[in-house]
Amino acid sequence: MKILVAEDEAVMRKTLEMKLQKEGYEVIVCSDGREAIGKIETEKPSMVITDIMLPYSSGLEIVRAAKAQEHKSAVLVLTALGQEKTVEEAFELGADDYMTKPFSLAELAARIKRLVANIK
Amino acid sequence: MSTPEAICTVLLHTILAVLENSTAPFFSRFMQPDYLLAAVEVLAVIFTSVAIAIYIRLYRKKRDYFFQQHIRQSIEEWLTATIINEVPARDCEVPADLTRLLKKRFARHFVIDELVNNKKNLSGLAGQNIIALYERLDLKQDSLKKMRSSYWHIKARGIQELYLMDQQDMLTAIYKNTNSDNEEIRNEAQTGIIHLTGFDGLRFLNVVSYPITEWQQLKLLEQLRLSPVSDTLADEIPVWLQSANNSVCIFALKLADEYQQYTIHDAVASCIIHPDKQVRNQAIKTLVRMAHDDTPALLIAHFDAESYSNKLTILDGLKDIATQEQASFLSDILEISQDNVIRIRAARALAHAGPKGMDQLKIKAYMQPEPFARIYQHIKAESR
Repeated sequence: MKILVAEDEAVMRKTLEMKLQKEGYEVIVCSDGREAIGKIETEKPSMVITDIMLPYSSGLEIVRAAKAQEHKSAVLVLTALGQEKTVEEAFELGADDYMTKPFSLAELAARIKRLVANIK
Repeated sequence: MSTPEAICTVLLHTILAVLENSTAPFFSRFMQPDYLLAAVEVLAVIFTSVAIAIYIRLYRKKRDYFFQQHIRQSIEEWLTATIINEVPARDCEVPADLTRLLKKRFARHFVIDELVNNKKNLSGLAGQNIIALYERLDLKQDSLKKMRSSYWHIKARGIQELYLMDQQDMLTAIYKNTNSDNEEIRNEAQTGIIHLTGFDGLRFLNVVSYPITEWQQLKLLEQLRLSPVSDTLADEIPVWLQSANNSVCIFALKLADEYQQYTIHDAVASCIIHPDKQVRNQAIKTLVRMAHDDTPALLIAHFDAESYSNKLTILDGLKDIATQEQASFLSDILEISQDNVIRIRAARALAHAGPKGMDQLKIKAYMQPEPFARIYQHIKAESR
């Protein structure tokens, strides 16, 4: 199972990468929205985990790009408190789930498992 | 030639003559080969110095950049592995080269920044590990130094680091800054004590004399959402509603709204006659959200005495809570008011005031097409 992580903060990106690798997933990381959209097209990940606020292209554009693909990756959006409207927009674009920062890695792993089960 | 013109001409000639006499020796002296050579030497020294300074600056910048990259590479991997470790990081072993690196101030600041950024994003065991690492690497001293700084931005940053790292023993020191004359410091300290103590932290509202900005109120409300609601909130809000600081009253009204404190409805209702227009505006909004049976009548009773913007807020509120009982009031406003914005808002409220509201508007539009036909069409289009 290939998961794409789009996160601009270096240590947070690394944390997510290591945690997901530990859970047994193949992980691709991107530090900005433009790169993420490019990798969605070339790598065709089964799942995308994206921050809402990213340089160049926002998380919403990533959701749109992920859902525009033929294989339609599952998308989990990471938001900050007070971004409820953006979450609504993300759901309208087809996002499958969201998590509000700060979140626990255990909960993230559980959400991913649930989404993976839905994909299968 | 007139006299003033003659005087000017004479003056000009005199000045030119003086200049010619005084500059001629100057130029002839400095055009000597010795002087020219010296000038060239001085210029060469200046150019060389500037070039060396630029080179040193660029060299240092490059060295700092590579040093930063080196620190990032050395620390990032270990930091991340420790954070996601399922074993608490309190007793983790710090590699010797990392301990050496952490003696450098830049490296310590880098680690603090990374820990703070991650703490904003992660909770649970990873969040606890971040705090444990912060304590294990003895980074608190750096944050304390920052908090004692005389520069406001460094001080505010220090406060933020301490509260994000759950340093409970710093509560008193942070609390002292909740009424700082600097807005950034004050905001961080207020957010900090709520972060550390939840609703108990709201006691700063008893003493704060500076305005709490709207943005800060939003931040405080967000921070409070992470804590369980206090049982004593209903006792405390009426006290804050009496505050001489209008922003405290407004924030207390928002708390009553957010946590639906029905038991203090009367205290909230008393703010409808507050001397400050913005407090009254928030009181109107809170009363509407509390949706007590008496609220429509109360708002109508104060409508005429209110400012223009508060009248609009009342009409917007009535859209949500008015019933057929308020239809005649809204109908009168439609008739009497000459202001189209008020008319539209009144019409909108009337349309929502029970099932007959729209029919009443329709009848008005039929009886008096100008302006009610247009208003009716507008409201009808909105409800589609």
